[in-house]
Amino acid sequence: MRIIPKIDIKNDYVVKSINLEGVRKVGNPNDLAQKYYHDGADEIIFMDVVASLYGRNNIFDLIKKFSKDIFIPITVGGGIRTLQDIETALYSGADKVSINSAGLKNENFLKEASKEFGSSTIVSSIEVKKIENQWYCYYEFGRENSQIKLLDWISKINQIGCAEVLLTSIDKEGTRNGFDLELIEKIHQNNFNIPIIYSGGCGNIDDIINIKKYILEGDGISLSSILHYNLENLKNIKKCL
Amino acid sequence: MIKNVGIIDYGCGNIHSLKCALEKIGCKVTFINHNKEDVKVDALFLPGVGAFDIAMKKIKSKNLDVLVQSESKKGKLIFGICLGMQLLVSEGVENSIQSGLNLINGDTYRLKFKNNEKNINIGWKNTEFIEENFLKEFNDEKFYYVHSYAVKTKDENIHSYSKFNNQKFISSITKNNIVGFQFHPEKSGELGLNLIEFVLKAHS
Amino acid sequence: MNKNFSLFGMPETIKFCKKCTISNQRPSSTIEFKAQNTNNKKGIDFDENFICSPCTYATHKEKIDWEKRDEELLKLCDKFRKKSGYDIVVPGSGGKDSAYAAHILKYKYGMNPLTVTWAPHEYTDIGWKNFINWSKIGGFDNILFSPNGRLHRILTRLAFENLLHPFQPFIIGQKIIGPLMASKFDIPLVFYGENPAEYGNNIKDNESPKMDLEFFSNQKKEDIYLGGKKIDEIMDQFNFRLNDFQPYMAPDLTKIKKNNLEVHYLGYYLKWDQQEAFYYASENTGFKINPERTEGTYSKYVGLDDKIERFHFYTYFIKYGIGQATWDTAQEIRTDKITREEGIALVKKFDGEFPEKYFLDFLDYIDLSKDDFWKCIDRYRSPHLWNFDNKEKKWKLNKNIF
Repeated sequence: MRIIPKIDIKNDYVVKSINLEGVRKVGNPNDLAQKYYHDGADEIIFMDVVASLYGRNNIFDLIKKFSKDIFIPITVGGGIRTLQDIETALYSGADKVSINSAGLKNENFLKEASKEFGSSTIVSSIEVKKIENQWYCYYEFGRENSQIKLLDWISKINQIGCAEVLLTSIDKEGTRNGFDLELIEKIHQNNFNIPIIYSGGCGNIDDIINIKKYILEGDGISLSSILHYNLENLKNIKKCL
Repeated sequence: MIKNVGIIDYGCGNIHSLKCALEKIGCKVTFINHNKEDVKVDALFLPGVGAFDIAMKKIKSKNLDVLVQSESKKGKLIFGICLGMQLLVSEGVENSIQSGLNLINGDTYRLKFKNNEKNINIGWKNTEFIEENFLKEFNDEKFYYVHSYAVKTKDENIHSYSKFNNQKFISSITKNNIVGFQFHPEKSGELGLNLIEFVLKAHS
Repeated sequence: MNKNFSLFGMPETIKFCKKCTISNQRPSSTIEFKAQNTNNKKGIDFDENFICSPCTYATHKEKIDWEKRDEELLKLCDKFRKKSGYDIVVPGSGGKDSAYAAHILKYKYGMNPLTVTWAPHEYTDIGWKNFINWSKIGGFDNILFSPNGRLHRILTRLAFENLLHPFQPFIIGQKIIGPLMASKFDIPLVFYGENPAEYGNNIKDNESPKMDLEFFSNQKKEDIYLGGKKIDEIMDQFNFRLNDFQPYMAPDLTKIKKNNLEVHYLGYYLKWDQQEAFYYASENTGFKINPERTEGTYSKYVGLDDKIERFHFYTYFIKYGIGQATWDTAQEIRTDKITREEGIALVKKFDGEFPEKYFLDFLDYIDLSKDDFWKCIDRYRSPHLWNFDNKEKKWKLNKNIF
């Protein structure tokens, strides 16, 4: 199981939301990135949480600075809209880029990106919410409902050939009440071959143990609140697993 | 230790990451993006991300295949990473059949996966280095992999193995001054940096 | 009519605060009982650098000795705390502000609140869930007071037509319910959340923790206007009795004074931060955000409970050119969550967005046709704010912040 800290960034700060709402400042990106690297993170994800909202990409300069001292895979997301954005991200130190809004609006973009940069470079980020028994894909940091159903979208991604899916449960995100078991079970039942990183809701080690049986070789989990709020540290988490 | 190194930049690889890693261990790094007469570096790194056939087409279009092959003949260290390792062999089968740099005899094949398994090898995997191998101190350590194809080659060229969904596959190869790693040493933490340093020292 | 004529007596030249997104068209608050029409409002204050008074207050907030204020709160609570029964009334709907206020007063300051709710016109699903969780997870007794629906609807319609302020009857009832219930249950202390002065009234109002109870000074029914109409006229036209208007009439001031009722703003004692109130409510009272972005703004944690509330903001936008996005961004700029630049981008993207989702619900609630709705809206477009673009066939603001 890959253990992947996710660092959400707004301007110069690490922020932490609840249900993808709110931009409470919780730390300094460089400090947290270095800490998680030295504590044994398998990879790190950096998300610019307002890039889509403001139509800008400020995160690349930040990434350039601290990627010099971090030698594990770095995924960068938030406002990646064009092939040029991807190139800039990779040049700034990203190994993978995460794409949400742009992919939902135009799935050809994902195909072109995979072709141009290699499928192992492209991560499809999905924010999902359950509305009346149906899971829907959201974008712009949980603001807009694309009306596209989750399972349809993952099937498409599976065919397009991205490296993996970063799946965030909006309902559980930031709550520290545990992962979205219902969602994870549903995905597991469907036997998608694309690796999945499950994100949203982890508050303690038991939460991770509870979903272990659904995590296949190649899958991973993304952790934010549990680490940023110091509820647990990575060394302990890796030891227990 | 070899300090003056070049990275082949053919438009398919995380060259920035690799440059940072090499600089961290004290190397001076030059990007090489076209064939030239006078290549002043002592080792060539060949990174790679993406598809074999597309990568080879790009390399050939810049005559970088000629450069790598000629530098290799001079005895310089050729260090392939991930797709870069696969390109060292004779032939690749991804998308279409395409000949590689042919520095080590061998070809590639698609990793198999069942219905309830993932379709690419991604994550930190144990790597078994062969006994009496110069990298034996790294035996059984975990390195970071991300690939869906692997290579087949003669036993004498095999350095290490790893496993994907319980299938054994070759995770590093070598022949004289040529060495290739399926995993990403530049993304495998301090351990990976140590491995690169070790190889550079061993080949100087 | 002069092209720059301001329909409401607001400044004819539109200018924006240099720090936040608010314009000089923002009126300071009115005594709602006396509102007969929309004329001659007074705008909020700006200083010589064109910084609005809420922004000035926000800077001032950083210099306040909050530890001292906390001690004052503790002293106040110690004075009123009872060993049994309720010692405070916390009015609210279970939204983030009242959830935060009730919870912190109970669990940190050891008080025993009775929460009191002046019912929204029409609860949204998420609003209802949050309301239930306020009690179920937060742990409070609650009285939900629903005013006479027939009257409330008529008053809302009158307010819409005569003032373009459909929320007026709601605001009146909401202000009264706290002291009213406190009076009935002999509870001596009422705690509201933020002081409205944070948003633009006289800054001096922020220097006192208490609501001025002269607001409840003895009114003669002849002096009360609801929805821009005298009570007598409403009684005649729509067949109501004086008794029906009880919830909109202030409780007897003499009785309030006799019971030594005090109404305080928690925002005087605790440094108010709307976003932090949201986090607190999420973490402690099961508060959940809107599953969708609220139309007219970018936020998912404000304005959730009431289907009609969006029309409050929309009509405000029509009258003053200030939509909910402007409101929310101004507030988030002052609490250092976003920069002015980001606020402007959000205003550009969302301000004045028509609340389509509950449009039919609103029309049904006030029993008005679509045509009549738009006729009414257009009557309140002040020429100094709006012009009709004949090419694009739509109304546009004369001046935007972006």
